[in-house]
Amino acid sequence: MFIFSNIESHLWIAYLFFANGYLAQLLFRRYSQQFSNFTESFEAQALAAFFLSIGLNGLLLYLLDIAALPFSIMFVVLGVLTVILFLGCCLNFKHLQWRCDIGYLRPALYLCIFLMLFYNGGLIEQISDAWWHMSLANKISIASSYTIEPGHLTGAYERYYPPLWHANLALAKIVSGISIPIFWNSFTAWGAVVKVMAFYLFAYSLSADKRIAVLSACLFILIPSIGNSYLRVSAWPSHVSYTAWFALFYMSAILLSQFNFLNQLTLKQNLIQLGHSLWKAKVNLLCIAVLLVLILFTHKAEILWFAVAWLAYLVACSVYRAFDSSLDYLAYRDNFLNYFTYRLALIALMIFSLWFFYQRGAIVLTDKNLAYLLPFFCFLGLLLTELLGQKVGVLRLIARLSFIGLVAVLLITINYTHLLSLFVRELALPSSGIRPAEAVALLGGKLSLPSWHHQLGGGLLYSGILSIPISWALAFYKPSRLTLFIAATGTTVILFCISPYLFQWLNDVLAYHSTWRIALIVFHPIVLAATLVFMFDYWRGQNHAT
Amino acid sequence: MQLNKLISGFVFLSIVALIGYDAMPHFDEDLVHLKRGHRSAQRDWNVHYDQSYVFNDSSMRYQTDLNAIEGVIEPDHIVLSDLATSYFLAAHMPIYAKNVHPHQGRNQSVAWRQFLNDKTACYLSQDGNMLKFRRFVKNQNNRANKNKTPLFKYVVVNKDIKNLNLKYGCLWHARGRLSDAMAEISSLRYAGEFLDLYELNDPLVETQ
Repeated sequence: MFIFSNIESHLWIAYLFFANGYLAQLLFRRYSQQFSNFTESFEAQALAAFFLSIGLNGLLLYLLDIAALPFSIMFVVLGVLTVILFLGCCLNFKHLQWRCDIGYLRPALYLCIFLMLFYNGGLIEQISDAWWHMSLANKISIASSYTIEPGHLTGAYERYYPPLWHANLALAKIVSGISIPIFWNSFTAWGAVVKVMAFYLFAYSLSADKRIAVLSACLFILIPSIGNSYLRVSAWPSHVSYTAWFALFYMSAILLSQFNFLNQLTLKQNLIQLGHSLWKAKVNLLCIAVLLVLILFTHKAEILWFAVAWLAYLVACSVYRAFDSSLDYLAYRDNFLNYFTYRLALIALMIFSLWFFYQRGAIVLTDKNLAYLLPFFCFLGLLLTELLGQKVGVLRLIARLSFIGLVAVLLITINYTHLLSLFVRELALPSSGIRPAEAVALLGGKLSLPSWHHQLGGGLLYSGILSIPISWALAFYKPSRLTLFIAATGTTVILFCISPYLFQWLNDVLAYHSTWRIALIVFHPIVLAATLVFMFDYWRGQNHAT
Repeated sequence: MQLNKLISGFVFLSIVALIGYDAMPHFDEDLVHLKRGHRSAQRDWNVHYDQSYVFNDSSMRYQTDLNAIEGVIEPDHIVLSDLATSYFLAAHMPIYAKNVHPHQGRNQSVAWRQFLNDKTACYLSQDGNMLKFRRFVKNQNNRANKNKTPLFKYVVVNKDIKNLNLKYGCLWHARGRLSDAMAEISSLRYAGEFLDLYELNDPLVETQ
């Protein structure tokens, strides 16, 4: 049993990836009430410590790189930084805010995860992409630079990979002398815990219910998701990025909660109010910006999935406005920022989809051209629904018909055999590994669809796929930010995974080898947790407040 | 009201059963062995998985050898080894490895891809293969000298018999033959518990 091996690396991880960030966040909490408010929970403080540490490390290494100084100087630089931050905390000791919402259940959960992953270790016992990343981190440590010339593994040209996390691992190797694979293995336990903490915060920010949030965190550990729940892979850059991604959802949900209902005012008044509100929320916006930068330099793709998820939510809000008459929920939660962002986004997407069609398509009736044109009409239909959905009489009817027409078109484009093949393997389209499968479309042409490989199919079966109709029922019976968000994201995913027209368009727009990763925004642990809590409350005779 | 309560209880229990079913792989001991047998990555946690798998099948046991080789080796040269050891070396020291997965650079150089796919280095005792090997090294290094790219200078033979990763590729299976052949064309720079480092003789490397 090698469970207690590499203790030294754990101590270095605690110092390099948490200590300075923790001291920095204590100081931030002392000077900013806003920051103090949204880092009140233990999880938020731990995440702030982690992101501030790796961000500061990355920034300092970048400055050394520009100055052409060796990274080994960081040993002294970090020591000085720790002393400065420590002195800052000592000088402000009386004013530091130590308040920390923690409870008993959550620390026990995190301790269990840490011990389990400490015991399991990181996924380095297979020759996987992990070794490619470790090679990059190693070469950064040797070259004392973010720029590796020539390629790090074979000596030939390598594609650019965001290097922030690799640079942090390189730093760990430089200051400790411990090899990168040992750090990689040890960090897995820490990475798993911060990822689950971030998921807890994300679920809490949506639901404002600690029971749902804790249960979501538990289910995130237990049931398979689309790769992001793989805890033995938590030291990979993509998983560090997922952690920042969940934290980004947390921060943006808080941001949305800070805005008042402004729609009774004129456009000009609304814009002025929006400006004031944004200025008031500047600390929140700054945190969002920092998280975006961290994701940009760690794995990048999650910025896109973040935007897709919120756009899906705004679509759900818009459709809800067009079809619901009570507007109870929206009166409290919707705001001008939503309207403004959504309409602007739809117009931008319409222009982009037309431009993309102009670049890649032609006015010839083929499946591919239809695939390039369909998103334009989808965005147009959504814009009509949005603009006319708040009117009365015929205009509102047009809004509703426009959305129903859009749904009908999308239903026609779906490849039902592919959907069925998720459950019946014999019906699966020919594919190889994670590469897209080819489906025969409506006009006989061939379009791409994601194959149900071990990550996508495994992540959807069965909780993932069943959570989608469950989320529809939740959104219908208990409309709230939580239920609309989970229903909208789940629906978006399933549409892109089974409509070859939508998938082909997204695949060609992104030119990304893993377009199927859009399925990351199926947040089924939250769907199931919310359903369990609602059912339990209902069974006990309590109606859950939305 | 009673019916509604019954329905909510039924939904609650159905979801719990669904979660239980989906969570089973974390507690399945057979799955650990099945996955290892099929070289399928154990991405998620499992109560029956422990660090001994990581310790045995990664580079952790080679730390002493790796440190020693790093002290001996000249940086920025190409090292030929089996697939797993190539990655281990690249993650520990300033060298380049060509025997890597196709999507991580093996396919970038046509000459290296052909050389590795032909398995010439695995069967050096066969007629003509040693000549082919020498010619390949000379050609590569001539080109490298001309283009100022890394030279092919070292071969590392992994003698470990425990690490599962080593078994997938002929270079480890041919480790005995490879060591014998290296005696002809290289000098042994380091002989460790697990790893042997050979430096190709000067005429093969300095070809200009």
